[in-house]
Amino acid sequence: MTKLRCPFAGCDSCIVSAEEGRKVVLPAEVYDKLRLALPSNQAPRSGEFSVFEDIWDFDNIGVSRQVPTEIEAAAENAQELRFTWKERPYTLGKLQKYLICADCDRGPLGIVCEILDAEGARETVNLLSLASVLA
Amino acid sequence: MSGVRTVSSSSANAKSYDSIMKILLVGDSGVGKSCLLVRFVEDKFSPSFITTIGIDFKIKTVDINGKKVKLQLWDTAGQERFRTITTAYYRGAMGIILVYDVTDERTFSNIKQWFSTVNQHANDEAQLLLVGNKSDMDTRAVSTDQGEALAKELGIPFVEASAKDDTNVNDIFFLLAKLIQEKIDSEKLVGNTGRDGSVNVGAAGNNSKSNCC
Repeated sequence: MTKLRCPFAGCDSCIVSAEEGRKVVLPAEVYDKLRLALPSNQAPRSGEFSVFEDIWDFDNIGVSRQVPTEIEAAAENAQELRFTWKERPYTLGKLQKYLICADCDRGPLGIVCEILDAEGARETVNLLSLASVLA
Repeated sequence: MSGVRTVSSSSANAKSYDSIMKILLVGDSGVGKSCLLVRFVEDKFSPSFITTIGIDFKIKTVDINGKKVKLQLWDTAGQERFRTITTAYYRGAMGIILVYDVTDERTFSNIKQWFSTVNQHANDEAQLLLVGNKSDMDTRAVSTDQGEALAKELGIPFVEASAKDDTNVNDIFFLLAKLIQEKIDSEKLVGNTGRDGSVNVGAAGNNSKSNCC
């Protein structure tokens, strides 16, 4: 199985297995709004993310503390970004934590975030930015 | 404590590991616990807003005798300054690293205090490890012999470390995980013998292959 790896020079930390079934696509403005790291300016902004419901699915990952309110407020306009997961519509909710490389600490490579379904039911998932890692 | 609390049983049928271990770093402020968890300041690449937020925990996967073991590593996040480390922090910890700074005698003499705090709050089964950090520094105040003598007195293993050397740091986590795994395996052996009289080695193992990196 393909492993997703840290894209930054001299790191190559193995983050998690790539699984097609976990893929979701968010609007491309998500990178700027959530201040996600990309390996280069030329990196394609595909909007693709992998959804992990269990943080233990990761082989190597760093998880930040709770994002403080002032930073979270800056990311707030990222809320309401829409995507489809398991063939159902969802929107991004409250940004909770950032995911970074467990070995070189670079990132953010993804987020821990609340998501809301059409009925407004909330759950927390881990979203790894596929444009921010190497397959 | 936020983050991962329990391993959801729903993921057990497709789990990507053989076992998981919660490991804590404790010791005085300034001994470099965070540096063992997060890379040394000079080669840090995190953007400043991540540095400001700080790291809650890390998950690292190691291979121990063919078993894929996931370690969850926690730092006290500076709570030790206020002596407010709660019992919740220690709950479920299978490994605890007691850290002192070899350039600061006071942090070394406080280890006994940390040892008794840990014994008070942590699970009796938790595997302890004494680590003398910053061993690369010229201004050493605590000798390796002193560290070894204290470890012997407390009955726990001992290593010196420098957070500047990544390999060394990863070795510490690996060593501790290996000690915990050996403890689990030996207890499993004793437990199984006690119950049905037959030794059942590796009964808890499954077919998932360790294929990380």
